Amino acid sequence: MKPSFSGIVVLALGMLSASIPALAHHSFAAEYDQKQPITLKGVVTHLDWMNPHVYFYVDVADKDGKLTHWACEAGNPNALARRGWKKDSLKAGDQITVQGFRAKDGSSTANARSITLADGKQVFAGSSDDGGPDGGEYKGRLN
Amino acid sequence: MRHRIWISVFAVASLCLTSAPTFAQAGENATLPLPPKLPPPGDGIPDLNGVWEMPYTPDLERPFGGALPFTPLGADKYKTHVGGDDPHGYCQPTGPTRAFHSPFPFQLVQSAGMTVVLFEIDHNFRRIFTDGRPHPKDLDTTWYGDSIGRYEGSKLIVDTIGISDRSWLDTAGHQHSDKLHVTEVFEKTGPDSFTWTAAYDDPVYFTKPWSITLTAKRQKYDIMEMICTDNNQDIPHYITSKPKPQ
Repeated sequence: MKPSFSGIVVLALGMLSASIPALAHHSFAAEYDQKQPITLKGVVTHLDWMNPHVYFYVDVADKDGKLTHWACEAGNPNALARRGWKKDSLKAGDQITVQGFRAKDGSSTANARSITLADGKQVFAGSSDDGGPDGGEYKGRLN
Repeated sequence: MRHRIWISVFAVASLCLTSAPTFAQAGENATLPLPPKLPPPGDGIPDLNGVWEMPYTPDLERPFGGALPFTPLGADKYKTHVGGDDPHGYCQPTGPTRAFHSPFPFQLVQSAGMTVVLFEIDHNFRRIFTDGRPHPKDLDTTWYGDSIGRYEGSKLIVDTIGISDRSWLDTAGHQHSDKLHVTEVFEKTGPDSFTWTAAYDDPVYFTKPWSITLTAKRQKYDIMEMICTDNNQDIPHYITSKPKPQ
């Protein structure tokens, strides 16, 4: 499916209103760069509802229509399920906007802090406390 | 052909027999439950059975209220740690205490001679023997160590040694040596709550013992399966200071 949104990458600091449940099995700083916030607009290609973290994949088109396949890490499926989310709360074909942070290694990988559907509804939202930029008092404690 | 098969069977059987003494030796320290010596929960000892969860505590300095009392080595290890080296990032075990303050519930199953902790995180468990046995002699270190406990009034007091220095104490990167001696106190504070106090004594990393206290609350939900290796796609992206565990 061809994305109807143009992909954009915003390298600007911004406040995120909602976030994803905690990264329990590794710290934010182990993998992601809080100095590289990113906004991805595109179409979900598939979702892995698996431990230790949900991963979903998004095709993001640049202004020339060239697609980049992004892997986005979300929260833990058990914690998400206890908050009422289901594996089909986000599914292939959904047009979404992801706000998050890029992996330090420069790959097309991001930690998703908020996921917004085309109708404005947010999915997989919850509190976060993993040392990431919106992780409450734990912010900035790593590295 | 049949003759060769019988030779093979004989060879395998011989290997098993010659290996048997090794298994028997290992079994001397095995910790099969002894016959119960204590009354069951509710009969003079606190009933801790159920599914519980503590507040997620990725940094033990939070409940401690400041920097831990590091030795110079401990301070250096913490200052220079790299998050990508966290063993649990590779789905290696949490060690005996970190699983309690992870963002996952756990179930306590009490019997007269033993309490079992079923951790949701990593689908793993701990056994705490309350049948009066001592720690084994010549204890080898393991990820979860060796735990023995006793009841005092409303408290279950647990003593754990033999903890491998490969585990980290928390997500923030606090580490320890294999000299770590943990004392945990589970104290019932109501039908649906208990406090968990963990005292960490490690003369290699810390100048003096220190402790934290967290409150566990009874949960209405069940523990779920959590297989860490199922989809650990993070490993290729970790920034590390040393070769990644295989």
